[in-house]
Amino acid sequence: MSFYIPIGPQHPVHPEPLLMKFKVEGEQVVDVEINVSYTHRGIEKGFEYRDYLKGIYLAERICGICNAAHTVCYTQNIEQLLGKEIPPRAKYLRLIVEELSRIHSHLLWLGLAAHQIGFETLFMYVWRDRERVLDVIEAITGNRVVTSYNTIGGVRRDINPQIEHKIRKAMDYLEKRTKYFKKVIMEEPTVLMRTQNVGILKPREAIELFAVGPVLRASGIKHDVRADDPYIAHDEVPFNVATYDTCDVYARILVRIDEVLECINMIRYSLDHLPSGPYRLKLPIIIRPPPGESVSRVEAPRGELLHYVMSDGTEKPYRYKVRTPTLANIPATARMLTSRKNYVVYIADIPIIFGSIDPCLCCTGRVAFVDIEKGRSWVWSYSQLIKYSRERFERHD
Amino acid sequence: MNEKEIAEALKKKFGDKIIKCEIPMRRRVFVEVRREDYKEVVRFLLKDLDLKFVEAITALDGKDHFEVIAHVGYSVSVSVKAKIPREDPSIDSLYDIAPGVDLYEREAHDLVGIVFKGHPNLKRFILPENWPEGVYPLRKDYEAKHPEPLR
Amino acid sequence: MIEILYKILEILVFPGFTFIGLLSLLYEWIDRKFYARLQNRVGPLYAGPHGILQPLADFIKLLAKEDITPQAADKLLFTLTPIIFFTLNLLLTLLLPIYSTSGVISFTGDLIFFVASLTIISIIVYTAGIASVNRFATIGAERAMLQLIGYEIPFMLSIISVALTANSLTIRNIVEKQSGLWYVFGPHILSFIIFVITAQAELERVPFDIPEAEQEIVAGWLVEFSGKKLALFRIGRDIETLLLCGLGAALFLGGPAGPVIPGLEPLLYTLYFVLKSIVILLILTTLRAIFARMRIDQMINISWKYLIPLALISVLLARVIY
Repeated sequence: MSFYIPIGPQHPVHPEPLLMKFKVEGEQVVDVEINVSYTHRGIEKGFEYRDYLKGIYLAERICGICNAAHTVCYTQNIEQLLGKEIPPRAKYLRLIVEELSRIHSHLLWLGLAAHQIGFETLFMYVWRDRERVLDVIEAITGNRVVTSYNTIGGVRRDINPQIEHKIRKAMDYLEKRTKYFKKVIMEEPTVLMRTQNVGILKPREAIELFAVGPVLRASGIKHDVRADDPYIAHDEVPFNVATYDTCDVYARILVRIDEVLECINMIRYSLDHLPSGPYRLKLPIIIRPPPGESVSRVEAPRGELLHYVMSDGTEKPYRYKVRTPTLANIPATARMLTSRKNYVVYIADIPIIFGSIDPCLCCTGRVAFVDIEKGRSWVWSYSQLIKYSRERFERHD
Repeated sequence: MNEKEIAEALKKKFGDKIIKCEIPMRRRVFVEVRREDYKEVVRFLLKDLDLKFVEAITALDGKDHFEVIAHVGYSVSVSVKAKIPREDPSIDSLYDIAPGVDLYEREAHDLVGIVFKGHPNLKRFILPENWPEGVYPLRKDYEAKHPEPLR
Repeated sequence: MIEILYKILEILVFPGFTFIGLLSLLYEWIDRKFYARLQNRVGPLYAGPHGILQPLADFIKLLAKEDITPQAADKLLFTLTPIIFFTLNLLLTLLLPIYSTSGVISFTGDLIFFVASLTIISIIVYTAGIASVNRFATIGAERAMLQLIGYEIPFMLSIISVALTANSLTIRNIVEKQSGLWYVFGPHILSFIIFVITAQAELERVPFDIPEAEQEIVAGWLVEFSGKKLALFRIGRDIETLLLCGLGAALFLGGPAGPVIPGLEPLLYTLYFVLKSIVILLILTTLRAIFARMRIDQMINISWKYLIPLALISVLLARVIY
């Protein structure tokens, strides 16, 4: 007997609304259909109405957690259009904040993944250590999560030796704690039971379906934008690309933990080699870049982020396109969630499989519009609302 | 392969089917082709030059024509642009050479109204279900106004 | 006549329903506070000194909430199952030896009655899930039954091994036979471990809270219950925790036995009983904090491949050593 289970749009496991309709037989998942259109904010159209400086604020709010990556990508794009190169100190400072936000994002995700397999204790421990990262980000930029640090031409604030000392002490603490979490993940039997051989994505499928980020690297493919297409100071700061080849959720957890350890090393290296000089180019407030196009790619915590801009010489962009990593991972997720010949997906695995791609749906469902009911508005009473919801329930089943 | 080699290989293979080919900065190539050769060029980049990934498909409204841009790349990012006339906004779908572009083409169809011939499942993806047909938000004639406050 | 009155007072107040109700709320507080401290958190803090009134506050809040019955649910079963769940659990507490070596009610073979009622309680859980006619509730109920298949046999075997050594199926006799050496220090350490693990599965707590998994199926079989019915299920679950900790204390830790001052016996016996069952409660809470949740097929695998052979070995040991 098979029937459809909807996970979403409101469900305790989702931080954002999306609908996944699963066809299940008993406890096994047979088919899946994903619908991500619940959070639509009209951002690409919004860029066309704002000049380039205001666009930074819009780019930042595409996603709360990857906001450092979005602003680096955006400002880089505009700087490429203008043909300007930012000073070296700005590159290193951008790198430090970007890597700090990557550590923050991965630790947050680790807690959520532990929560999704029912391991509350690890969730609490990891989120307590995440507070240390937030303290450091606050010392540098003044905000805890949405950093507002990048601007066209460089960064907005400089760091002084006290902040540097604070960063170093936090890095030592985080390194110790991350190694402990890695030991827990690799040795705890219930975690291993829930994450090994779950959510398998073979390398050939990963390339065919254009997966990005840790999902790709956990299938053994060594592709990282920081290594293949270096931006800001990544060609001068050495690091290793973390890959594992077991292709399952366990590999994705380990890839992210290894990335956190690499980020810690990169931050230490950048602090040791921080060049002196200005941290910002002086540019006018209203920028009119020459007509042209530019593509900018950045490795956000969730994967590869791509921004494309076309300018027509005025102070507002003609077209701005954002392609976020979670959108690229959705076909791969649908493949991971369907049972095949020797590979069975249980309902119990759904949250952890979907969580292992690190979904950030506010990045995903973003494009144009303002209001649907133009000029039409009405008030419903409670009983009318119940009648409407009952009708929709009957229609969709 | 760096960007100069890719540009050379494209010119050698396609000759004057390439309308324009620019290298504005490191690791970026911008190519413009005609609508009929679009799929062929993308297939060449994807499989023969082994650039592996189609990262995004952008659709834009160029006032008297539409444009579809496929961003292909691994370490170098090549943007293949095709201009299509406004009266007949259709172009070949890349689905059979690259099944991962499924969602990108559906999004472009929803927002700009371009029909991808050969795509198996071109239904509504990103807009709500009760969005009116034929209204494409990313076109230049769609005005995004502030919502009216309810009184 | 006065004896009947005395008995009614025992049933209703001490150590009967009122006492059990308050004690189960205390156990929930201990569980929550200890769990929070293991996770580096604070736990309940504001309701009463150190948050001790928090479970009572939660119970009263639930009683005041709106009680919604889904249109498609089976109305009779939907209303009856919480009541039967609560009542059966409360009734079984009368068998626990709290203030002397026998409970308020004690008869020959009451151990079998106890264990059989626990199985009926699991079937009530299944009925509650099915009566809700909701996809998630159906899956939760199904999982509860699968889990029953997993833990039921080791649970019974661990209890049987104790009964074999004591040569009796009455709780009172088993408690009295432990006046020399508690069974947990003797040949029954293995049975005790199995009892603790299967009690965790019976109570649907991590790593075995599969029927109620919040992240996957939104509270499982409990999903449609709200208001007073949910309050009855919650307090029924707390009383079940008390039941199993109390049973463990009675069968393995010697019940209310301990050094006494003659004259104050009921008080001291109750104190020892409470302390011993709190020890078992703390073990259960620690198990809850250090594991992730298992999948249902993994749980049944472990149960049939490892727990049942170990339980059979413990029964053999009991027969051989005794």
